[in-house]
Amino acid sequence: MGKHHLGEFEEIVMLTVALLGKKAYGFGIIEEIESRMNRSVSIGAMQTVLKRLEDKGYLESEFGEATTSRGGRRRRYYHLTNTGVSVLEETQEQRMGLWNDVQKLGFSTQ
Amino acid sequence: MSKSWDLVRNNLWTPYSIMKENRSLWQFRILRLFCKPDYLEEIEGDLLERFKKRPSSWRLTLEVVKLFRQRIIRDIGGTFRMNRYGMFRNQMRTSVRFIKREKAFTLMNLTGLSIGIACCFFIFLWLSDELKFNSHLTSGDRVCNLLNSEIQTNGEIHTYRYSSFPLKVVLDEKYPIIESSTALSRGNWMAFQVGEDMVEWDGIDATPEVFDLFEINFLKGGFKEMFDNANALAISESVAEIYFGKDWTEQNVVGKFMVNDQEETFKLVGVYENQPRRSTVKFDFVVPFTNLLKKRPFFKSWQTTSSQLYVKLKSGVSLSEANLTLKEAINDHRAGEFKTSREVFLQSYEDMYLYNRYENGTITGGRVDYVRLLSVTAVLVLILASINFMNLTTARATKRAKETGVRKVLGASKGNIRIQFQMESIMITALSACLAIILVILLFSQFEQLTNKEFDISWYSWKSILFIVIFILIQGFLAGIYPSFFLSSFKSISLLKSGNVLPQERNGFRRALVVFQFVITLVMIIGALTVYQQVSYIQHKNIGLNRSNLIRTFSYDMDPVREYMDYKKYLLNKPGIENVTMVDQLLIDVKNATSGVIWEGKDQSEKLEFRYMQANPDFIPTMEIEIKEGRNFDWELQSDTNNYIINETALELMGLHDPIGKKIGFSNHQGNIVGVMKDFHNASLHRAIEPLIIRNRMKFSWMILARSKPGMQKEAILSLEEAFRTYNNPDRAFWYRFVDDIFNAKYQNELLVKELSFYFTIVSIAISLLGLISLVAYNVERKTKEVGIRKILGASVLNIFRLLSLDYIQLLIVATLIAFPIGYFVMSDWLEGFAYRISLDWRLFAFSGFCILIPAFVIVGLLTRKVSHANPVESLRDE
Repeated sequence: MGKHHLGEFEEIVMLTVALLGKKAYGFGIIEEIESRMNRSVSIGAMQTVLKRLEDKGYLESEFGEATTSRGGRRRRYYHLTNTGVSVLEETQEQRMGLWNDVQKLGFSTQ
Repeated sequence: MSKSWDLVRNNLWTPYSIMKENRSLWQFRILRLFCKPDYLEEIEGDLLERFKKRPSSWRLTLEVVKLFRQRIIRDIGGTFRMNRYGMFRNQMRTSVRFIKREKAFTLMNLTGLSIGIACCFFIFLWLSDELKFNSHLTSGDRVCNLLNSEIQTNGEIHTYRYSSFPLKVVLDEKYPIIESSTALSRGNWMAFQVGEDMVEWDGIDATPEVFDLFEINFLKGGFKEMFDNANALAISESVAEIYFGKDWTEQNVVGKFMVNDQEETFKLVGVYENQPRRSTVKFDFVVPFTNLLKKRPFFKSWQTTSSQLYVKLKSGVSLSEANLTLKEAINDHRAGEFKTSREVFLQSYEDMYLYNRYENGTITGGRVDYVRLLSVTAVLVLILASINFMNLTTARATKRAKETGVRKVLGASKGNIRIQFQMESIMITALSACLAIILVILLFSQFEQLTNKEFDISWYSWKSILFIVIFILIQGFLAGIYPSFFLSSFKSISLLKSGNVLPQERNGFRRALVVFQFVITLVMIIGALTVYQQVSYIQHKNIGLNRSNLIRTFSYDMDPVREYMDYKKYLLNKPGIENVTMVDQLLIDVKNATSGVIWEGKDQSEKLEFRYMQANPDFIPTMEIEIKEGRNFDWELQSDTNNYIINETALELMGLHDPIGKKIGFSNHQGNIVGVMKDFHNASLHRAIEPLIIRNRMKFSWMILARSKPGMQKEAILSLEEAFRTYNNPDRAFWYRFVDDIFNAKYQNELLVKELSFYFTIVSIAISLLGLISLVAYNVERKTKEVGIRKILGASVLNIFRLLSLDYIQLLIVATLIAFPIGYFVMSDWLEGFAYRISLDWRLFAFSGFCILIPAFVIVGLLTRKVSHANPVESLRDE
């Protein structure tokens, strides 16, 4: 799986999708990220990342119910695929490996 | 029906009414234009959800703009458009393949077109520079130059840019339509000490309104003081930089005193910004007009017409209105003094540069004629190149026949095929335009030298890029119209049948194009030859005096009456000088004019205008002017200082039979005519010789004309400089010019046109011949087999030559017959503008015919030679 690199924003999106579980749809994810990380995310950026992750096979999606708050448009709900989960795990492993080695050298993050 | 539709609608698009309400959002409409349809529902939903709480239109717009991303934009237009796109790609591909395969064809096309386009770009550069002249004023349409028309009793009208100073006062006081006016002198040259050297600047005496009229801003100081102080001085930024050094802005320059070469002291009151390069009225410094009036009181007289007047009209006053009001401004307000019929009219400052020729009191053109001439030439060259392109493309139709046939069979409409060939044409034009730009960049400095201009263009500005793109599209489209219609017009069955069944031979339109092309080329050759001959005629014309080796210089501090004899003796003892004289103005451009001449037997009601100049008795021998009757002025005779010599034209105008000894005079100096000299050209060759009176009163003369011995110009100039140092204040700057150069400089326009027309003619000959080569070469290639069979059946080389080239030779002859009369009429018209001109004779036409026919014959001969001499077996075997 060595060649699958997740970008920082991709990783955040995937983690948020995992966090939201069955309620992960475009604007929901944006709201979650904006409230947690205090950064603004445009719909364009979100859609691009979601579609790219779907193309790579880390995410899957299906239409949900239509609501009036969306002018009758249906939501598209996303969830992680098995590949997606393993890529996330691998990414976390790599990061942790780096953190551990850095801390061994006595580096203080404070 | 409608019920079931509702049902469908309600089921598929559940809350239809809500949808409808959002339909009106224009941001959504834009989104729908580019977004992939599959994503639309989700994205629109997200957008609505996001902005339901904080509906803010610009945030929504921003969000939509941010959605314009590669992954979200749909592919080019759905399924229907996808097909078009594929087709388009296929067409481009075949075009590119064809261009690559037919290398000779492409090369010919590209060369012709790119040369043509490069010419066009060059001319465009020149034109845009010319048209920008005098356009820098914000109220430029209200600033006008005031011109005088003098109506003579013999019906002729003379027009001048120079007026009398008192007219300015009248204009200011009596005419409320004029907001302000200014009077400018002819020019004022002063030298100032900079370090060791004296530096001379080219300034002007002007009333201070000049700064307001010509919108010249002051960087330091101002012009207020110039109204009261006759010795105030304003200098331009660049003069300040030279005089005070680069850091003049940090110095306190205003209020400093500057002493010029004549020991006059001026108080610097201001430094103004440099005027734009493309401005007719330009000066390095300004001295108040009152200074000039103090030194030369006669400027206050109505009789002196040596001031340029500019006025600024009140806004809302039209030029024609003002012209009506001002027409009698001189005649109504000039009291007491002699009366001539002088009318006043205005010309807008913006037009001054391009329209500078007057005939009988109306503006008839001038520089604008050359602007027009060159634009027409540019268009013609482009047409020539386009015709090449059309001919080549249509002649090669057989090469594309199969392709077009298959396309048609597969369902392509004529329109599709037309679009394909139009695209191809635009593609080739774009390629040529790129080559043309490279050519322009390579030859840019040469062009600047040729036209004596500096072009400040920016290649990368959006304007020039837009211009080039639009140019390519239009040119490509126009050049492609005929080929695309031609190529799409064949029946598919005839295209697909083997063999050449295309109606090629009798293509009348193509033949007409060839004729047209050669007509243009021939007319251009005739034009260029005429211009060339006329200009060299002017350059070498015997203007009635010897102007070779003649040097003009000035003497500022010498008394022209008392000190001249000493000066002459001193100078003639030095090496290199043959002869010398002193005058008040340049004899090939006599500007002083008067209608106040009275002579014995003059009809008092007659008002005729004469030019006059001052010259000493050495003038006529030095200039080698012939005396027709009477004698030259005599140094020994004191009375001769009141006497006059007139030229033949003046004599004719006066109508005197026995002129010698007749009384004559003007401005209160009575004398006799002592001689009549032969006419020499005392003004531009565009005009007839003016009546000229020479008088021997040397006050105010400061111009020295000296002739050097042949081949000793250098020595002569050194001698003149020594004499100058002896007879002038030591700190003056010596400068000189050859009269020949001044003479040629007056015909700069003509010289430029001469050179440009030469280059354009070469280009047009090259393009036309290129077209001929490719057509004949193609014809030869196509008929190789036919030639082989004919040779087997006994045809001679001459027969073959006739078969292959007779057609084109005929066309050339037809073109010649059409071109000669056109060339004759066009060029006769052009020559009308010169009072002295060559006559168009048959040799010129014969030569221009040869210019095109001989190379054409040679080319056709060379091309057909190979085929007509070849062994027929060679051509017939390959099957």
